[in-house]
Amino acid sequence: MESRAPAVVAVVVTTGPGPGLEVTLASLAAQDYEELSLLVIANGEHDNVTERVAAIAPKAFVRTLDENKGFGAACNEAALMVDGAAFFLFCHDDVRLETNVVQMMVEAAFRTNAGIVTPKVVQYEDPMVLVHVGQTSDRFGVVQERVDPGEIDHGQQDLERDVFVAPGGVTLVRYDLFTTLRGFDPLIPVLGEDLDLCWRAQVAGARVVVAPSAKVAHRQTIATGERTVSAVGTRRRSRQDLQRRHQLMVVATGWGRVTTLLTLPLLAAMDLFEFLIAIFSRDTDRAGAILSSWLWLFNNRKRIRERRRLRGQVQVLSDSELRRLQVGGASRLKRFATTLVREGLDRARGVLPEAENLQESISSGEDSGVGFAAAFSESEEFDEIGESDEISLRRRAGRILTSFRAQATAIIAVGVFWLIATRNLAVMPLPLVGRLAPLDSWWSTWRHFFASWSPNGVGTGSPGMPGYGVLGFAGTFVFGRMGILPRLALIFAIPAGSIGIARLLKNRVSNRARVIASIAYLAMPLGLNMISQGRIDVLLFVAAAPFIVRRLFELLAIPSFRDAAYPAPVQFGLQGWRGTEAGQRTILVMIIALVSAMAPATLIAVIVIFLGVSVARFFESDENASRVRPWRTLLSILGSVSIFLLPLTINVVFAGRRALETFGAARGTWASPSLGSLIRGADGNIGHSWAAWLLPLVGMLSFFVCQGIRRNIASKVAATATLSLILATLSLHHWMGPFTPDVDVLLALYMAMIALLIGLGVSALENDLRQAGFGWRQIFAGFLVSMLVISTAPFLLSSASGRFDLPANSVAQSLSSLAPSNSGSYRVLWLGDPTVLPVAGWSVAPGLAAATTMNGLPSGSTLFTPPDSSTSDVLLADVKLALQGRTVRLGSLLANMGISTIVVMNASSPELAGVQTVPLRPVPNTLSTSLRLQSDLALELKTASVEVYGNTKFTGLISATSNGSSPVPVVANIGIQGHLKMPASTNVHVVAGLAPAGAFALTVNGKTVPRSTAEGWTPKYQVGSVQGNENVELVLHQFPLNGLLALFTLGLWAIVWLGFGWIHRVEWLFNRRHRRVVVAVNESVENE
Amino acid sequence: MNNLRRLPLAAALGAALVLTAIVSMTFTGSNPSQFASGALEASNAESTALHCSGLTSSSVTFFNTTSEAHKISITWITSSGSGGSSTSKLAAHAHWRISEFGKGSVFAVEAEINGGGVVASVDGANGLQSTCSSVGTTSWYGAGFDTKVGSTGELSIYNPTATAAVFNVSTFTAKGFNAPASFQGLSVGAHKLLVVDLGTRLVNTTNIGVHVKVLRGSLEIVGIQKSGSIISYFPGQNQPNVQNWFPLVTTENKAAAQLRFANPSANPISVTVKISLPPYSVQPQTVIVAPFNVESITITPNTAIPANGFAFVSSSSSSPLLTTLALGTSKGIMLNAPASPASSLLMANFNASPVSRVVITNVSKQNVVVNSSPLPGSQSTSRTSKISLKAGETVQVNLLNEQSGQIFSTERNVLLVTAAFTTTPAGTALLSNLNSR
Repeated sequence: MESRAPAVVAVVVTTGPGPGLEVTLASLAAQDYEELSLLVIANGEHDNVTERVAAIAPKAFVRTLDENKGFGAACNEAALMVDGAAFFLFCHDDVRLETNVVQMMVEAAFRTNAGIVTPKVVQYEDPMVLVHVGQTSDRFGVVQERVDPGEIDHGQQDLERDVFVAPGGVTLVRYDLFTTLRGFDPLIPVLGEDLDLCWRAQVAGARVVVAPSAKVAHRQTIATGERTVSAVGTRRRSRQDLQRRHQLMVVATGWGRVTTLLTLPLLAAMDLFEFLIAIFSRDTDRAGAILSSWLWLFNNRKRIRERRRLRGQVQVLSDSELRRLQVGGASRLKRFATTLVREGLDRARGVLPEAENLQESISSGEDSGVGFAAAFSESEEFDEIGESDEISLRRRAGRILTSFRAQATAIIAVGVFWLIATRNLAVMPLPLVGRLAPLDSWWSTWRHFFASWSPNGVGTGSPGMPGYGVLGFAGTFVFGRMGILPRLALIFAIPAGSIGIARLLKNRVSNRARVIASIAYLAMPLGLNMISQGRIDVLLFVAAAPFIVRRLFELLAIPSFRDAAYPAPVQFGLQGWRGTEAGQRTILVMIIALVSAMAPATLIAVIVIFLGVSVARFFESDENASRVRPWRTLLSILGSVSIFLLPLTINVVFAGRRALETFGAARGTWASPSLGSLIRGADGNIGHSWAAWLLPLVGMLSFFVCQGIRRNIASKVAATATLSLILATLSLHHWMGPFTPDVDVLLALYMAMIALLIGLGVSALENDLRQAGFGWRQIFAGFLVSMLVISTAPFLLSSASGRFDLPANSVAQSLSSLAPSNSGSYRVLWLGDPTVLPVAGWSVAPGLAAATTMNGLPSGSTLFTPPDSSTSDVLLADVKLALQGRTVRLGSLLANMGISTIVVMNASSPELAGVQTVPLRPVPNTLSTSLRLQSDLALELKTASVEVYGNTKFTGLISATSNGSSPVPVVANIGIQGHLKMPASTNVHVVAGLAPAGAFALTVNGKTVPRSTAEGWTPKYQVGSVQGNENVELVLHQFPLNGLLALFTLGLWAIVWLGFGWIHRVEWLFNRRHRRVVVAVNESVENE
Repeated sequence: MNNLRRLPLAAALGAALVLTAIVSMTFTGSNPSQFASGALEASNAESTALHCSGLTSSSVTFFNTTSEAHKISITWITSSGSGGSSTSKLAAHAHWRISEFGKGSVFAVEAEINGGGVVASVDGANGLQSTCSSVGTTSWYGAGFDTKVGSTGELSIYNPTATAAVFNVSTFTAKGFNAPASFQGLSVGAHKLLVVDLGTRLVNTTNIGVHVKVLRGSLEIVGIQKSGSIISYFPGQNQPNVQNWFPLVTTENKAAAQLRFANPSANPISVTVKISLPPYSVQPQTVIVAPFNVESITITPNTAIPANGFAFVSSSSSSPLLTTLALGTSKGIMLNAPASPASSLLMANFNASPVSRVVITNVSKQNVVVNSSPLPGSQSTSRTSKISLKAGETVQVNLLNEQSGQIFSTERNVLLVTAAFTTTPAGTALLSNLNSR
């Protein structure tokens, strides 16, 4: 049985001189397709066409039309002449087909059941350069290419696929479809007839397919201006004019009623906007084109109705189905906005340039408006080739930080800038603000860790806080120069955190994204505010947060952080154990424990991360999520940390209702930052400008531009950031009762998350946006980078002082002398907002914490306050009485505690107009009022920052009474312990304001005197008669339980540390030596 | 993966954040500026203090309103520096009257009480009665002082704290603002008394307004107006008010009643006085008080106001203004400060004079129910009762016998309780609330 190929009629429409007609005909004549007929339509001017055709293709039919009514009308005329064909192949007269084009296109039509097939179109002069591989369109009829200008054909587009528009040149159309659609619309003679036909074809349910195996070279004589448009009705009309009005007609008749009602007003609004821009920039051509397109549409309103009626007759696809075949958004507006952002108005208004201009711009190698994302391309391979002019188009002058050299330069520059910005922190005397109390010596710091008694409050026998151990350990590395430690923290904590951010993003984003995220973290206002407030504890968390987050993400199997299971278990102590799940978890626990020792709210931050990941997974689960049991993991971590911080854990257990205060004391709501300030990280003086909004804004935008796995990570990060903010707000408003975790630690976590989002966002710019095609995200991209740059403004401004506004002096230091007139030891009671006090204290009420120091200013012995206030509750209760106005003799109440002075702080440092600005965080007004009314407190100093009251009832920390007389201070030779200088008298009682009462013993000539307790807690010693020459001593009389506990904790740390391969190494040393001995013995035996 | 799956998470996070923002903006915290003050509220206090300044030939009665005994230590000091002390244990609901303060023209008494709930009343001849204060002040205003011939206007200033206090005194008279140099930078030592005689700088002047600004510390200040043989203790005001109420203003023949105004601001203030005297209708009277100046409106005798017992007088001004009610006869006047509406008020009569009338007033625009109960331990014969008061209504309640007391309470700070001693003519001496300072 004989099989015949479907008949194809090639319709070549030629107009005027037709410079490429012969080549076109020759290539058609050379087709290897058997059933191909050739019909040449001479449109209008037809001098010598018949002869020229006959010379090349003698079998071709020629039809001459008297008038050039346009390409579409000519094709319609040809269709009338044909009967029995299966396909039309509509050709311009300036194309050159490879010999198999018709065959390939027909095959593709049958293979894909397409109604319209378009070939791969390449440049006429350089077939390596792609021109069209089909086109697409948006809902407003704006056609977009699927290839970049000058894109080299590497076969990257050789995939048969649906397209929305088959660009004119060579188009294969099924005969029946063409008939159904009633051919081209004669109202659209040129520039838009292809869009119109394809649009209607798809409404009728036909597919439009590109067949890349069919390759056609197109000279584009009209598009390049080689020939002018000469059809009837198009004379004196610019290309822009024609293109616009035809697009408008297609849109006005291409949609159903509802979609038209939505689309046309939108298009009108955008055209109005473009019209105004054109007027503003004196672009009269564009303005005229816009105006005339709408007038033309109005004038052809009858035709609109007719077209809509025809559409209704053939419609198969709904509007929503048709919409899915198009690209989203408004292409022209996007291109305008992008170009405007990138290159300014002059270029932007030329978004739709004339073909001549486009060609010029291509030839001159100027930017062709591929998009902003291209400027962020990681790959620079094309830049390095440089042989082709077209290839050079891909060069982007805006590429920044892509090379190692550029990144290294940026890092060094930022590093140098940071050192300059912190220059004064290295040398200035550190003020007594925040947690900058001068540290004791290395040895004393260790002693505080092991101490059986500490002077906090009225004294406590609680275990030494692990923070002392951390400081002592850190002091080892600076050879005991403890003064260096706070400076190191102030200067290097934030850069360390930045490095952590870079590590966190390693292998997940490009180096450039890592650099940008790290710089963003460096510039976050919160860290700078913590420097200005001397919050060493928070700074430590700022440094550690990225490391903690990375390890937690690995543990939680966040995609790209850990996509595979951990290595097989290795025995504890052997090399390789570190890489196992147990080893990794132990490292994480140790980091958390170290930081928690200084800033216990770290544990809350860890919980927030778990919550954030869980919330994100609730909305979108990960593939690996089932491998992890987050809450069990969390409990395991918290449990392990509690063991590593055993002294603190025991303290918390015994703290009762104060246990929750371990994580932070309640701040006054009246001086708390607003949610807006929290979002900016402006908990202090830095970050209140509008520029500080930009980094969070960039983070938020990043969340929306990320795709794929980056989006997966970003969702966890965004959830964690949001939860941090919410928890911080709840904490500031005390909506969780006594649970008020340190807001600054939560904000530090939030800031780390923002930096992470920024890194992911930059990576999204580099990858996702390019893949997504140019869309609304790219418009954000321009803003995003601008904002990143502007957001560094507060950082730059705050660096001028060389110390990030850390005060040069403090309120505490400005108090010339706190010593009472009578000699002996004494205590100072510090009252103020927890963030203002220069020493950690216990919360009395929201916005009011209380702490005591011995013999003056805070020192290294009161750096940490145990959560368990124990006997100091007496002190706190008395302060609370005053706060509530329920006592008028606070001085008397505090006298037996040895408190000589009360310092009420409203700010951490004095306000010096023009020199030093400090945030005011006043104590509750009722406290100030109450203290003023006390009958036994004398106001000694009052400024906006501080009020100092002297206690007129003060009788010394250690006092003696004899025969019922008034108590007199007893002077101790060394601090509170040591020899007491007792006045000669009879029936002497010594009262010491030291708790717990059982911790101290009074000996007279080596003999312990009886002790009783006064007022429920004060040790009272019955000395009896004193001659004045006795050896009276007050000695600490406590079993060293705390020391043993500290020793056990240290031992635990050491054993776990050895587990990281050190045990194996030690064994290896022995084994190797053993092997050597064995080998030597064997050798000697062999020799013998 | 479908990128739209980010939207529910974004929406949830955004909603949570917006909700947090709304709630945090709605419930903004403020720095608490007032704690429960006054003796009744401080019944659970660890210790309280009462300061009575400006005493002359008067006695002080301490009354324990609680059911617990309290130790009370009093110290008195005269303006010359001499003084003494005494201690007593005040049983539950008991009272302790002390009048022996040694020699001196003006005294101040400071009482320190173990616990709270003790009130004190200063009583003297001719219906002289005042209340001791539990808190000092940093800003004190008074109006209506006279230094005319036969009159003396003084400020008795006691420093109840351990801090030496410094203060300035400025005055407003018909001649305008005056800040005498000798009244600036005055100092009074800790637990010391100082008497400032206004007449030394403002000779033969009527209706003097005074402002005491405490620069350091806090002070207990009382104005002493000696008018002929009549002495009045004027507690003054901590701040000027826009609206003031005087529920018992006599319109009797031979009585004198005058509202005295002082404007402590730099702008003129218009003040309108409404007089309610059923069944008569009295037109409101308006006067404009010049900046740093004084004015007065005479209620009695006034030909436009019939003599018909007690009138309810209220004043409202365009800006905060000092207002004082001067009551008396041709023999002399007593100054009365406007009472501030409160939710709980204690009236007790330890004076030798009986009380002729007690009224309670609801100054709000809503109806309230007032609980009236006798003070435990007092000799009150009344029973606990509930009184419904309409908006702006004033009703008369049971009289207070000598040594008796009554507690009036409602839910909001809208209550005024005013009592008048039995005098001739009626209403020339009023009784103060014991917990009003």
